[in-house]
Amino acid sequence: MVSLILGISRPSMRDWALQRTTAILMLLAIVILIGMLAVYQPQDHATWKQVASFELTRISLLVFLVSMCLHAWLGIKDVLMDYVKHTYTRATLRVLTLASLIGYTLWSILILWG
Amino acid sequence: MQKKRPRNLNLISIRLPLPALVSILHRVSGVILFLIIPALLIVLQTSLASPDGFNSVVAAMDHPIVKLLLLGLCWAFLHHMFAGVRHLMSDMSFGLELRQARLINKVVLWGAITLSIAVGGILWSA
Repeated sequence: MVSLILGISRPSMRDWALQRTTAILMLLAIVILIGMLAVYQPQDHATWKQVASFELTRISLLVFLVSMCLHAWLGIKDVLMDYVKHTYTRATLRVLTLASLIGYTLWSILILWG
Repeated sequence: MQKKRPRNLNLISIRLPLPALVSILHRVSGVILFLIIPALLIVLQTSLASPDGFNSVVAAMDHPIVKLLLLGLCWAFLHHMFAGVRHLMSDMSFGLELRQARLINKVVLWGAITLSIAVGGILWSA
């Protein structure tokens, strides 16, 4: 989708664009989340839960966590490509990374809306 | 053909130039942040689940080892974010002159360390 918007179709360019798009989304989400914490200053469970139940907090946290998983996938993929020379080991690690990141994304949704 | 020339592959004695240091730390901090994701999700889930869970998370943060871990994590996050912003600036052709590039790399490296120390101060005084 991002590659479509930016008019970029080659895989490496798509990864490059997605890495930066998710980075900027995370920066924006962090600013909003820190702002929420600064305004409400949760000191107990009730306030903490209240802050986390605001739609703005939920959306920001979801944007942050999903962006983080996409961003981590691209980064770890590069790290594995550079340091793990054995093809099958690398393939296994890639699958494990992807599986855990998809799991984290679903887990995040469960935490925020469960 | 064998040539006699000095060769140094001892990683400990190689002095990394500043941009290389910032770059490898960007990578190291990224891997640290990736590995810590499940722990962060557990903390988020536990603290939201119940008042007991919230209190146990707050209590855990009083432990010196947890504080040390938080400090390390804080540095990894700040370094990764600053180095990432530096990348975004480079993408927009900002700060490519040698002198500017060096300054920005110094700000990334020392900014993350200084801010982490400040956070450490807050952690240990709270």
